[in-house]
Amino acid sequence: MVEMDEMRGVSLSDADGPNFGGYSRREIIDFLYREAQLADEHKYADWEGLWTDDGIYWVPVDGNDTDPTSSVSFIYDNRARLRTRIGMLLTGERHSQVPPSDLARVISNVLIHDQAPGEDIEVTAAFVLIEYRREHIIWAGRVKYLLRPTPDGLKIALKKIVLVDSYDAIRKLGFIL
Amino acid sequence: MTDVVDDLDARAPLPSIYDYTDLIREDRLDGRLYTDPIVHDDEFDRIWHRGWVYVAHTSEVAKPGDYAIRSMGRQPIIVSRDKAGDINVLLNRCPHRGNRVVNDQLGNSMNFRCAYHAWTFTNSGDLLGVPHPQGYGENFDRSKLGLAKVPRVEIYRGFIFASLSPTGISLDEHLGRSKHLIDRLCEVAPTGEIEVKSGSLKHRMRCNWKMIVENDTDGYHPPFVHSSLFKVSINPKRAARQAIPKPPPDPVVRDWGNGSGELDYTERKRESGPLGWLKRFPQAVVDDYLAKLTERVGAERAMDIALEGPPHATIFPNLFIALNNIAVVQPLEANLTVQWVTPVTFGGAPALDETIITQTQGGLGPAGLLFADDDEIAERNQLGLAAGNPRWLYLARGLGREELDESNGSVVSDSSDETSQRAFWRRYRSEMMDDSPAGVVPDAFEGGCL
Ligand code: FES
Ligand SMILES: [Fe+2]
Repeated sequence: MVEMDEMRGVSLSDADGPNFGGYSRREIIDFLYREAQLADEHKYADWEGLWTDDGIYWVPVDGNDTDPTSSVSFIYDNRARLRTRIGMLLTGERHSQVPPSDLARVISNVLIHDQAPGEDIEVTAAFVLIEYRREHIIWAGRVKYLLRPTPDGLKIALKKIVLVDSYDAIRKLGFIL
Repeated sequence: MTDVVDDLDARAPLPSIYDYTDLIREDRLDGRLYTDPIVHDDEFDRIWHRGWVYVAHTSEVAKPGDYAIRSMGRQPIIVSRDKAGDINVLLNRCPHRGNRVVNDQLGNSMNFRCAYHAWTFTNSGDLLGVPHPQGYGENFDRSKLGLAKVPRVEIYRGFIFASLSPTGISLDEHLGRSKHLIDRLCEVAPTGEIEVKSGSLKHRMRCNWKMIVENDTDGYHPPFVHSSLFKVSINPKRAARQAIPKPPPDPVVRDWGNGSGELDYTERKRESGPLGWLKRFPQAVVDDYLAKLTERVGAERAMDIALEGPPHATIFPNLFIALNNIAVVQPLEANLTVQWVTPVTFGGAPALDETIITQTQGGLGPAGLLFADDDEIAERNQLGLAAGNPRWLYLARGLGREELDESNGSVVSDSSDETSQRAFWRRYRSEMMDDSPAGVVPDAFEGGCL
């Protein structure tokens, strides 16, 4: 959809434009959209397939600057714990997601940051997500990704989600943010 | 200093439309206890705004000037440490026009300034100054216009408890035997002191606060509510290696009196070796911990503490010690509660800190592998209770098989029994039936029966 992309400030020529670790801006944004869609649609195994083996899935409390080793986070999953989290969802008995919440998220304001050759690609974005679980629940925040070019395509090495209400009490978070 | 309860003093008794001995029976509960806004209001009068409530830990305001804002029931409060190093619990309400004076969750300041008309207070609540004081005439008495002090504050091993009633039972009477639950947590620290310094997970749930407290020591639900976690975390290889698995000792549930209940799996914890209740650490970490603890308590006691770890128990009304965590409920509405979950680290054992934080965020809080599912069940419970009729919930499990544990005076039963819930409700009923402004000494211990 050329028109929509133009509204986002992404012109078609970007597809051939600067090269981020071998990926165009367009490919990176498509990757984020695909990730968002897999999470919205509860395709847990496919979503888990997007991760590197050393990936960190992180939802801090109290803003952007907390140290996850000395301060508690809503989520700070290494790969093993993320596997457990996904495994629980796959049993169909993770009650907080039985039935799965209906989800729709919008991700925007995507910026791809300069990166040294061979390093992970840093991408920042903002998102709004509506969860419907007996009522509408709004989730929103800023997200930072580190994406790693691998022989199997882009993989997520870090996804850090700073909720707008990270200082406050939040509702249960059984689905994938 | 303004007396916060000037008017409350004159306000006895507190009439209720309910007879709580009718709503709370030996083997059943009226569902309205969880849903009725009138019950909820009665609870503010009789429990949250009268009795002892846990408000914070001294290590959260460790240095002079440190403060934290919290609440007692509906009242916004400030917990601060003043210049002299003393703890103050103040109403977070400007005596001028009522503005909330302190707004940062945590901070450090010797003075508080109200943003509205700039009245300024010391962090122990005294009014320092007001702009253009001549407008108040000659008899303006600053000493009467400080931040109101919560009238009673007592600290037990760093746990700050406060009561909004100027008179009433002592903290000692309130806690009774449950003091030893706090001791068992603190004793795990080589220094004998725990630290609360690693932040909190705040969790908003559409359910009544009592459902959360009751569930904290409910040993009946885990195989069902947490089946997804048990399924994925059982390692098939390890299970296969233990050809004839030795049955682990059965946990039990205990009623300690005064409304406190414990899900006690001490014997099972002992099987996992020293510190095994937390994680299987490298031997060097265990040895170092034991050496430091031994300095304070001797080798034999140190080994027992390392094997048994902290308890899993609730203290009436709002405190839950969940191994190396403190969880606190904050009631908002009959069907809305916030729970704070705070990891506890152990003075003199910093090598354990990172593991403790990892464990807390893994299981607990709104995204926890355990708590997110407890939340869903509690919310559905609230939906079911909306029915209102039939009236009764069944609370009789284990009534016929409870026993007095002669070794420590608790009433003990099978871990799946509702003994700890009955302990909670017995205390709750005695608070709710009491119309005096001061509150009553909890019923003499009379076993697990209501
Ligand atoms: S309300 Fe605080 S100074 Fe006026
Ligand atoms: Fe549970």
